[in-house]
Amino acid sequence: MTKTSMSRRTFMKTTGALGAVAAVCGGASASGQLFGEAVPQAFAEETDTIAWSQCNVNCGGNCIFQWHSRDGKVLYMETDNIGDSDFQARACLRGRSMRKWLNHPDRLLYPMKRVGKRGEGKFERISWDEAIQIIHDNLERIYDEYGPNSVFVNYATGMYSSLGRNPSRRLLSLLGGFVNQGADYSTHMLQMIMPYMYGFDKDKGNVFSPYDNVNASSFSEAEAHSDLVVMFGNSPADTRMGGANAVWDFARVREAVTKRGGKIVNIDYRLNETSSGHSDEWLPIRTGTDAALCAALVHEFIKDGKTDEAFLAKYCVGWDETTMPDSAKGKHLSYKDYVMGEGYDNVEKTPEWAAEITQIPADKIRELAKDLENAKAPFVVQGWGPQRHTNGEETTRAICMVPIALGKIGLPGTNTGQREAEPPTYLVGSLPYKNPVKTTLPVYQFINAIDHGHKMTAKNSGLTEAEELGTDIKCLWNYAGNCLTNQHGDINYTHEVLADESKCEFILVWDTVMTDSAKYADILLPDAMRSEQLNMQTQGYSEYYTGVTVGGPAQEAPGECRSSYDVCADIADSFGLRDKFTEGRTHDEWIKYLYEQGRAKAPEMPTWDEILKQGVYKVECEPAIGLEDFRKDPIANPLGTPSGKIEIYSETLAKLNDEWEFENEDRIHPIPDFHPGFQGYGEVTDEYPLYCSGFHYKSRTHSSYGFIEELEQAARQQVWINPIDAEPRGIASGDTVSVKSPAGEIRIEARVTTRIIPGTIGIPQGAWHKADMNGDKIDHGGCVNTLTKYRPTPLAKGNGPAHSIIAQVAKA
Amino acid sequence: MTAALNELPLALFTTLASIGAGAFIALACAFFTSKLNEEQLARTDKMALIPAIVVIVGFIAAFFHLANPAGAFGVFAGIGRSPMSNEILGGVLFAIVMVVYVIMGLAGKHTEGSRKVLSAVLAVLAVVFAILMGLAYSIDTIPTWNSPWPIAQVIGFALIGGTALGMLVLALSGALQDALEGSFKGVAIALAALGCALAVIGLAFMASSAGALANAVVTGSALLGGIMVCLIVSIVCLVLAFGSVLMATRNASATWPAIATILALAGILAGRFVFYALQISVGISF
Amino acid sequence: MTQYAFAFDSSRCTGCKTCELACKDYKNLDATVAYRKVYDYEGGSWDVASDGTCKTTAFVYHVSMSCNHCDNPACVRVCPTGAMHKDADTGLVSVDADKCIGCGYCHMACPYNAPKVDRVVGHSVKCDGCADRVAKGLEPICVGACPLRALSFGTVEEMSALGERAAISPLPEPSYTNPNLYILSNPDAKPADSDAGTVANPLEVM
Repeated sequence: MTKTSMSRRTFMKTTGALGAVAAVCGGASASGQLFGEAVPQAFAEETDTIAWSQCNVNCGGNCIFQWHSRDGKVLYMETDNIGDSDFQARACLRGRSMRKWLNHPDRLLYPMKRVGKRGEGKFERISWDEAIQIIHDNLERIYDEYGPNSVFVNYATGMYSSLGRNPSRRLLSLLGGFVNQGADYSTHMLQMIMPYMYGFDKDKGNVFSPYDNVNASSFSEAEAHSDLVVMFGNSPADTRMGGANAVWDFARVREAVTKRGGKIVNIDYRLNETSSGHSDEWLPIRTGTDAALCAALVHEFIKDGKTDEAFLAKYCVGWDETTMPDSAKGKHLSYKDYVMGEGYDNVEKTPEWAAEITQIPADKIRELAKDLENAKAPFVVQGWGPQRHTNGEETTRAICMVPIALGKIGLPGTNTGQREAEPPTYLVGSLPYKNPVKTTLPVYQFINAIDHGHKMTAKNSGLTEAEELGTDIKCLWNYAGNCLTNQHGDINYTHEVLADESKCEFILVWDTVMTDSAKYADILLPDAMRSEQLNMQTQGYSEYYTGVTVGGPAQEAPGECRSSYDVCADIADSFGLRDKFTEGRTHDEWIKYLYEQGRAKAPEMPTWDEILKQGVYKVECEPAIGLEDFRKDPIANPLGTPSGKIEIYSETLAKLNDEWEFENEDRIHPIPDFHPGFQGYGEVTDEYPLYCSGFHYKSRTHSSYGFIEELEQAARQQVWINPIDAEPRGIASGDTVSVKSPAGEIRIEARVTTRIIPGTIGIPQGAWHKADMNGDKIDHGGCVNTLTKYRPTPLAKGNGPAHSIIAQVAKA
Repeated sequence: MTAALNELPLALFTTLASIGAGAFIALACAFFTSKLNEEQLARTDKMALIPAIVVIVGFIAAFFHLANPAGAFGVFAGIGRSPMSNEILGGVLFAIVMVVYVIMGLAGKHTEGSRKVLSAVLAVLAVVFAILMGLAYSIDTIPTWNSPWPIAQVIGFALIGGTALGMLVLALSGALQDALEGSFKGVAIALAALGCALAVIGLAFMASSAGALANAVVTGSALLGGIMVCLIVSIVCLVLAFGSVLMATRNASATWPAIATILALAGILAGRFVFYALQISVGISF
Repeated sequence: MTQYAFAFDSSRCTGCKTCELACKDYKNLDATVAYRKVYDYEGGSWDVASDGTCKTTAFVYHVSMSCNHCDNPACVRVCPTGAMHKDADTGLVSVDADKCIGCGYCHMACPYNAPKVDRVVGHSVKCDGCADRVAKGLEPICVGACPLRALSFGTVEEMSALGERAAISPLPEPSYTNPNLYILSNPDAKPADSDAGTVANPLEVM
């Protein structure tokens, strides 16, 4: 594991201070030092206060806000403006719109109870006392009647803060517990399948996680040493847009790599924003076919004699017959046999074979193979888009096969095929809780668990830590999330399940505005924004530094909005558990406590008083090389797989495939072969002749910020369609079109663009669903999850359909 | 077309101002080429209120174009530099003389000399005003407008529309019959023919040059496609207006001058829409 | 006089529009007005073979631009009231709201789509180079906002060292107004007079 530099180099003081008045700061505007580095910022005369806060939504960036207010009202925002400009966590366009969110007329201001049907969005105002009583009564009844396995804290990521999500979990833990979330909507397929390749048993060795710098290398490593960066479905400019985030890291990667004569290849079905201005880097591919490309690349490596056979023999299992486990020997089940046409399908995975599937000409595949073979330090890196497909469990591993076959793993400038590394440590923790329930439900399964949870088992539903759920989910607890419908999938079906009050009996939603999910609440609570309370949070999971920001409130919360911690304390109180919940600490005292706990482990952190003054503390991370220790000494540092090696063929997966029960033709694949997946390659029909995929879009983080008019105007919700597909349909840019899939229909503006491969359309995910669910159900908001089918993937039981959709488009 | 509709107040201003001002050209010509009796002249002096009102309504329309009409007097700050300031200066000078002329007429104070001198001055100012209106949007960053064609258009509009309206004034004053008996007939036909030709040629050449232009936001051919109906309506109306002027020279009733005026008004308004719709920047303004 | 200028690294810009939204926050603008805008310039074509494989010349790059505070600003030239003026000390072009009548001529004349008449406030509005901040020794708000560090602001001498005077599509030749915008080019960049692409997001930059 690479060590983190904890130098004080980046310990920066600012003139900004909580509650500091302009008089204090005014002198800092040193004229004659215009724009020099680290010049302290002065503030507009009319502001009297500055306060630090953060963007806490789920792009993982946690970028930094510096609020400038007067008379208790924020006037404008600066972002991280301190220290070395290369190391500033500058907020993206969304963060810069946070004031619009804070002051938006659509803010929820009072507790409300539902008066219409679920999903209708009809509520009436109630008092906090009444709300807490109703919550109390429902919790008491449901815990009594159905037990803690009927309570699920739904997947929700709208609020990353040390006291953001955990007050709810802490409360429910005290009341008997709740079913845990398995995996997440970001990396569902990847994080469930990759451990079978890179390790799952921590007693044996390395355990795979998508969120560390052990299983992947940092972009800074590519910057330092790589001569070829090959990205699969990875566009930091669309997903990680902040100023200390991967988009900035990648800009420096490109500049360093190309300067030393290297090259960038960006494989995607869209000419994404990362390749803006560098379109030659784009290798267009049909969505969901990366594994076919990888098989063909490996085919070329073998044909050219460029595979690292010594590495494959020493570090891997299942490359070829020689390293197959006994249970699979002599059956032509190895990856090499699969690639060379000696496997189960007897098809050689030539570039010509892959060309038709991927739409990439065979000569282009050969060219990429040659580039990879000739690179000294290829940095192969995937985003999380390719795995968010019904064949994603194989795709994510297939991409890893590219560096594995070349033996380019664990070495300077290389990567494991996974997404770029994330910071190794978090300086401060979150509000602690101890859930007595161990049962873990794959998050995407919550609708099935509401519908027929009592039938769900480990073998048919991917439950972990328990053999069966034993009950249906009866209570949904949804804090700061829009995954009840909007961000889940198959909204039309999901609506049917949620609207049936006999199934899930109590839905609590906590939010700041009326999301589509909030419309399904029985009780809807108005949350205070983080900039309206003292807030503390570390760096996010997508920058590559460690840090912490403490500050606020920048202005008071409107109406009767309250901190969820205080509300949970009141609910605990109704059960006689206030003291157990609070341990005698207020919201702010917990933050101080958690900060000081963190500082006890990292004494170089500023003191509490210092951090209150300076707001921000950041430390740069040293570059990391994924699986470096394993590469150096695989005996001393084995992987946590049964063999201790990279398992290209997983005997464990083969066994699961035999043991698990599947409702359909699904199966678990022991090797990362290419198969189309549900609604994948070859599944288009006359009725639905186009492939369709969601993608991350600048105007929102998932659905967060999705109601801010300024963002909607600056980056419009549009379906991307190639002119070749648009022309015969009579579609021009700006036209309103209908997109239909087997799951539903949306209306959306067309963007006819050469930036998308023919035959596939792309829809920015996260737009707010707007449909009459008692009427035609046509979604005028253009939410891609109106089009996705509900079909959990074979192993992970995850949200693969997000990027595997078949569709038709017509002028509306 | 949306861009053109946004400029409706300006289109009305340039339409009404050019017709109204042009009418004084026709009147001046009538005074210099006809022998009208005192009664006819007195009625003509009063009826001159009609084109004056047309001009004033045009100016009022222009105010609706401004986001801050209260500051309108500041427009003279740009005289010499800003073509728009020059245009307004030309318009205001014309309007001042026009008001003096009309007030004197209403008060019955015109002498033969004052009428001839002032109407001649007004005619010259009307031409200057029309030229300045045509020049108002000539800037090198908008090549479709930065040419002689918009100037030709507005002079043409003033002549064809003004002749029609001028003849209407004469007809309503009971003076058209006598005027046509002199050389005014030929002059009127010549003015209208020249006006119609300048307007139609100006429009056609601007449209054809726009059709070949494009920037990264719009293509001239697309803009032209959107405004083609307007262009055709404009040309057809202008030609019919000329035809109506010819008819009016054969029959001294007010009917044909009125028809000619209405046709000219329609043709000129449509022509102004064409003008505003064909704004193509060298850059990315739209 | 010190003439201030912007520099823009088009090889880094990802079209994220943070500059635009940071400006909106600082200047308190709603969805109908933007002082800084980001243009998506796109083009190219596709060639699909009989087996369905494709080759393409598709390209995209972005130009982030507000007002270029030109040496010879078209907006100032045409302004009838003198409301649109160039500051004698900084060269920054701004609107005197008291003088402006909102005639819209500046909007038509500017080839960079910078000024716009805001009928609600009753006058023309545009980027003023954050003159208040510059006077205090600060950068315009957009510059420090850029996550890619693609925007710079400073004296024309400093900025002209960072790129060429703006001459890439979709911008016009700089000779019309002599803009104080210096652009570091990108591999996809097309010259100012090119017809290879179009502004693909007109509805976002109106």
